[in-house]
Amino acid sequence: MTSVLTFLLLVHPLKYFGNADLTRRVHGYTYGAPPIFDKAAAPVFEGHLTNVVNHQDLVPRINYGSLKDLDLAIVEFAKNVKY
Amino acid sequence: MQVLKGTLNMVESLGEKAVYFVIDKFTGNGDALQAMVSCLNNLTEESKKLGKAAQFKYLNGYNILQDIMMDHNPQLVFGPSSNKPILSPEQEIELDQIAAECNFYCRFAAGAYGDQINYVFSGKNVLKALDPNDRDDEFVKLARIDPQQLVYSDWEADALNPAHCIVVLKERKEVMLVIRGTAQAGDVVTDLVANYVSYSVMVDEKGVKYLRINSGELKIKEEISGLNDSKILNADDRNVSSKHKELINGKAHAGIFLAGIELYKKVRSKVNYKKIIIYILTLFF
Repeated sequence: MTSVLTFLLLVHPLKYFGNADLTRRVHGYTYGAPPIFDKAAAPVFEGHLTNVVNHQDLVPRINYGSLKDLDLAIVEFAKNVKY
Repeated sequence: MQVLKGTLNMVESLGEKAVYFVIDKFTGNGDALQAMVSCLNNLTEESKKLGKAAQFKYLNGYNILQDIMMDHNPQLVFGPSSNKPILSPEQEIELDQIAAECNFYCRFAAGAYGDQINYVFSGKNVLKALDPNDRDDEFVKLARIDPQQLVYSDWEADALNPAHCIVVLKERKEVMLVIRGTAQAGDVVTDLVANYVSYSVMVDEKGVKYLRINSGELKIKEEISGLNDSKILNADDRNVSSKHKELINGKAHAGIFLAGIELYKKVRSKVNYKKIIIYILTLFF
């Protein structure tokens, strides 16, 4: 959510604030936020967003790539486990 | 081995459904929501049958599996987490500064949960979390601020209105919009209420950035159209000669995006300060 709001504030003309320079002062801090943007969005956030990820917290890592990793890990793991 | 076996059974089930859910979403099959709801219901029912010791084993085993997933699988899409970048001394100092900032602001994010965050993590008086006292008082106490610094709050969350509050720290010349993460069933629904939308960030002749909608559900389009008077264009507008970047193209958590737009519209009229800081703490209880 914070990522979205920060994004909207950054790409918006922000005429509500009367001064587009104020956009530079917007900063979002997220704690364990799930990923919702792709890599192409990263330049928009540069210098405006700090995301805290606690070690291997599942939520901020749960995207299509990590789910594919999990799928591969399960398959690999199952090969080495005897029931 | 029992722990790993149980974990494998659980995660295999969850992982398979989760992967299918994502694929389902990507391919536009309308059964995805039903599949996810069914998956959550099954997990809830299964967890009721488990004792605390079994739940702990599962969680512990799940953590082990995450370690395996991150560090020991050569086929990882993003590579192992042990591939940490080597930081220069200057970068180390910068990282310490960022950590100090995050440490300062996290008490506001945690405070948005109220006392229930203490009950849950301590394991004591859990039932009190179901009957909270004054949420504003709880937030002020946990965030360690004066009551006057909390200028607005709305703790009743629904799918398009996450619990949030506004704090003004005059001495720091900061205004914070604090958004609570997942704490209620309605917060989970937030992630399930919308489909995906494809955006572009456009830049006009004056260098001003604005949004362009490439595709998506009509409802979302209408919501976003309400954001701005003139700068948001329709997908079939071909008269724009600006470079653009593709954003949010079929990614998860589209519902959060929609809720973010709703919240943005709501709070923008309340905020007119020079600096805005926005927080979120996302936890799954």
